[in-house]
Amino acid sequence: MTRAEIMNGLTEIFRDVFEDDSLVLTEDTNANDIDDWDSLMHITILQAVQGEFNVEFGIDEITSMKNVGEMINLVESKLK
Amino acid sequence: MGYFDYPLDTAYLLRKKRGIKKELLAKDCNWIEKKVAVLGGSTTNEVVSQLELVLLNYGIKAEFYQSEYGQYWQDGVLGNEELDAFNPDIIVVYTSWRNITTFPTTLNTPEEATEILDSQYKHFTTLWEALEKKFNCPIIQNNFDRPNYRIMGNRDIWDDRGRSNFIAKLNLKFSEYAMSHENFYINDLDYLAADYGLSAWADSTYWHMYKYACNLDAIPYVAGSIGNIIKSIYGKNKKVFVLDLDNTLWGGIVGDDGVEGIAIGPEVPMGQVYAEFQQYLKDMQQVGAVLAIDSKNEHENAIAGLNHPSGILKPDDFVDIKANWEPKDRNIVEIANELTLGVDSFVFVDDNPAEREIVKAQVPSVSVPDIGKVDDYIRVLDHGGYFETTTLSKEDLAKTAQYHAKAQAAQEQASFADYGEYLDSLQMTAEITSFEPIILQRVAQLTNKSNQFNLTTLRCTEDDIKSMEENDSHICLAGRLIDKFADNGVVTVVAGEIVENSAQVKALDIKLWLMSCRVLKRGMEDLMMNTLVAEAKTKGASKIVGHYYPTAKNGMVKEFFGDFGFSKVSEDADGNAQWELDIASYEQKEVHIESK
Repeated sequence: MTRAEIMNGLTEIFRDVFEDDSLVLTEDTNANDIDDWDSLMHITILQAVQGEFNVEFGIDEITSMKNVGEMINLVESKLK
Repeated sequence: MGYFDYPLDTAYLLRKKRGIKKELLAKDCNWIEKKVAVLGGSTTNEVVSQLELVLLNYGIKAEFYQSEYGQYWQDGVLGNEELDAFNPDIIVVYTSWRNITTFPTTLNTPEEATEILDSQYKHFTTLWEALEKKFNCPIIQNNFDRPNYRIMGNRDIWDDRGRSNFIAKLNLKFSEYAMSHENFYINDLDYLAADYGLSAWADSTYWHMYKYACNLDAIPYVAGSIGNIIKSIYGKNKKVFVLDLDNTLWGGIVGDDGVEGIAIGPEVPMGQVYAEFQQYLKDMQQVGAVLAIDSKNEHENAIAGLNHPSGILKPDDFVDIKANWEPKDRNIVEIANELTLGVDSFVFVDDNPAEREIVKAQVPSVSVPDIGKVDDYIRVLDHGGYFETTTLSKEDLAKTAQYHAKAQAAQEQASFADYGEYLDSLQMTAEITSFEPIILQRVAQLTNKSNQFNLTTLRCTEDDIKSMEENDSHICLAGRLIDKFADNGVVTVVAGEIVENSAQVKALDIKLWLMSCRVLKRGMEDLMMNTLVAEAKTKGASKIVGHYYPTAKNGMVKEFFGDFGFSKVSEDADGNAQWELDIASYEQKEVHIESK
């Protein structure tokens, strides 16, 4: 799966979670860029991402993730 | 909206909760509004989000209060202005085993273990009493899930010092409290965890990362469980299971396979599964569930199937049996009217996806779960929580009888006046012939198959049939019935012999009279008698002699000849009876069937 494909999957998830079809992500997008992206929404996102790509994140991995780019890195490394 | 039918699509519910909420709020509904306080011993945000959806689905618009993380006890016992001002209609105490502050250890004596148990229990009773005093509203309390590890292995459950043992006892104490206090309900977290799968449920990532008491993916199920209790408290339980018959209550199709051919009862695995499902429904009557039938079948076949000796449910278990060829949604609406209930209190249970689709589309407020394969039926219906029992009354047990009377009265009113009209609406035509070669086989088959509507139970081979037909002293009649739904084929067979007594009086002696139960109450037997009497007259007979030989199955025709004006002339100890009719006194029966 390419980074672009993972980005597409993430965009779908973010649009569903925030109920906003116009939402556009970049690798730099982080919690400060999206209203409502609080710690609770973050849990929902992580749950959806793990389900969507059928991967599992460890506690240390979850805590070190800073933006969408790092989320893609993590998914990519799990899929290898 | 099927989002909440079991099994839940939990990933979708979690991810799309905002969109689903919008959709639910847009529906046309008589909302009731309730204030729900969730006092948590762990993070409860997702519980509240999911519970909000569940309640909206039940027509309850809830406003929520959540205690600060872990403050469930302080909020209740020490007080909290915000909670006081909120003044809840219902309180959920959302705790888990993680909130048990002290467990006994192997260093404790059994007496000390009991003291620890009492003190943990007291911690909660103090809370409940404070909440009751202050708010006097229903309290829903989680019992405890088990940790997924056991310090002493199997000993953990039987040793007083084991955690599993301790939790089991604490849960029992909670149950006793619930039994002795009105307005106090247990949300059975212990069951939910087991049902979900304890290891997956207890994935500790969710506790250590977010302080959720269980796997996030399990939360829609927990919310569903709490939602069931709440909607039940506010009178939004279902009331009626509307059930299909063929491949729903038994395996096979009774109209085709015959009563002997359907799978129900202990003989084969398939029959066992259906019997267990019937037993489940029978047991559900104990909590007030009312059963009705909505089946595409001849009514007689439906009744015959329900009277199968190995069946658990009998015709009397149903308040209403709609076995006909009407669209199922129309039957449902009719049942609702007869019982004076709303269709929103109905659960429609049918193995056929096409029928489910029609009902979903035509009467959307009926619950129409995808019941899956027969071995899934119980699980799907049970997990639907349709009959969550928060109150249990003597009336629940009598419900079937009450609705029975109601439905019967309504039906009599509705149909008595126009039964003839109903028969006319079937647009029946009949063709009555002798035993022509082309139907010989069918006639012989009927004599060997028909048990119920069969006066003499005379079994015949094709040769027997043929020789009757070829014998001039015999009158042989086979009736074929066609209605607007189907050509039922040859459904009735009558044969008699003209005999002459010593006084040279000719009489027709009826050797054979049978009819398929599929066409019962259509007036076909009346048409046959009219025809037979006319034929007997042309053969110079002045009397007709009928016989009834009782068997285990043909009780329904015991008085058959009496209904046509025959007089019983003899009857022996076994019930074998002879009837006679003076042809001159025969009154033609009115029929609603056209003759070809």
